[in-house]
Amino acid sequence: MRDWTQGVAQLVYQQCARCGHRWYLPRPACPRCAATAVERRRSTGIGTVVAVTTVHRAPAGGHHPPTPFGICLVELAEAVRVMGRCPTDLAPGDRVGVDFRDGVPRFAKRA
Amino acid sequence: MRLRGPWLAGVGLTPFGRQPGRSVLDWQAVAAHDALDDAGVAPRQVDAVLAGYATTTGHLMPADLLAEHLGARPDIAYGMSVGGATGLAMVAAAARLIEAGDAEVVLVAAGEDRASGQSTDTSTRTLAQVGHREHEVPVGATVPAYYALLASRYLAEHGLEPADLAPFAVQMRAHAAAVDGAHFRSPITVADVGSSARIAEPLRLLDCCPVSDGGAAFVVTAGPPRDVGVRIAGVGEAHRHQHVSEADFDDFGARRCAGQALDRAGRGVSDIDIAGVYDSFTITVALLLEEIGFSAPGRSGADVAAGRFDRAGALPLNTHGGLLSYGHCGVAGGMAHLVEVVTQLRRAAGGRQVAGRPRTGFVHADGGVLSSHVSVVVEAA
Repeated sequence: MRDWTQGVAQLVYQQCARCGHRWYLPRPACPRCAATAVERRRSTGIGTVVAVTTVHRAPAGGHHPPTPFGICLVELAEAVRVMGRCPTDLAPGDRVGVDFRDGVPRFAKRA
Repeated sequence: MRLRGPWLAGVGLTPFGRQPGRSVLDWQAVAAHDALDDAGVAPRQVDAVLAGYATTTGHLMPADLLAEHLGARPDIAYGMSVGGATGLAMVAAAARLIEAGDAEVVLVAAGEDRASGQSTDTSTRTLAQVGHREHEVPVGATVPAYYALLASRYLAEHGLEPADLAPFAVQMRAHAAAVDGAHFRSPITVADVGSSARIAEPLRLLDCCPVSDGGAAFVVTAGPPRDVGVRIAGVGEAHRHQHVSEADFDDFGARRCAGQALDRAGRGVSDIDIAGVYDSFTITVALLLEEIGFSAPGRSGADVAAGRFDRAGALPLNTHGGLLSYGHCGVAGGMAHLVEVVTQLRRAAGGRQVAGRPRTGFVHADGGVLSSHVSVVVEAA
């Protein structure tokens, strides 16, 4: 199952088939119990903002939209943490959902 | 009673700042010669050389390169790379080599033309690579943004404002005013921090350390030094995560790391007379002080504002000005804190000498996004 880093507009997490541990940054084996029976699952993209920043200085030649732009860490409903872009009006604790712009996850407040 | 080493027999620290004209190897060699001279040791007496990485010149074999340049012919040589904690990690490794009986005289050195050897954009892009190559860097994050995320969560958790972190920048600048060789020495106020340029909110320019050129070095020995002895009483490390996406925000590893170093020294945080704690950003030093236990959760900003970490305070902290004002040239940046603590324990800090007789010092550094941690406890003999 491919994710946004491979050109498919979705968030994918992994779950260990042996111990049930879930994580976001991909590995071939469970970082808790080392089992290699690992499932890839699609996330709903819904979660809660843990932290947010508005970036005003970004290097030429880097991967970024025009400044200022927001970056957030979101704890997804599936209990994994994801980094994405966001509008600059988010605050920790906000309930958010994901969409994709320029192929990158972007979280915004849910109505 | 013969006190046990390992001993910090020699220290070397160059001025930090924008100082074009020297290469990585030049900075390392200048600092290394200073430390060797301080210890009264010749390069041929060195039997282990540990050298830190540099971002401007990524040599495959930095310790061999430096050893040849100095005329040292060590039995052991290795380069190390754990981000900003590398300098103290090399000191910890040197202490272990000596305790194991594998070396008698270890040279630890780092230096870099980080400010003048590359553009600011290149430096920012290179450092951002501590983030995840596919899942974080493409979002557009930089090192200030990673730490701004930590600051956002910290301020929200404790109901604080960005101005509550600013006193760290003010205190470090006040310390640097008395230090020749500091990158920035002009006094600043909390209002100056709050009106400085926005970098990655809630962090502003004066919440961030500068990028500097410079070098630092130590000589760690099995035998006691010729003059005032400062011994390494305990070291500790912790490595819990690489990426902020997987960090445990309530347990970055600093507590475990510091606890190991203090336990080995037979000390607690209340025994520490002087400290050097990594301050790449105001939020960095706040989180570290609180997790280690020098301040209560959410209270470190109030503590620094009340003068607790002033040169004349209860726990003098970063009395050289820290990364925020002495400057940050990479690996050597996190070594300057230990140079300063050793200098204070030797009572050789001149006009900036802290009052009383500091006997026990604590130094901590982190690398990445609070990813790697090293603590060193030192004691005046």
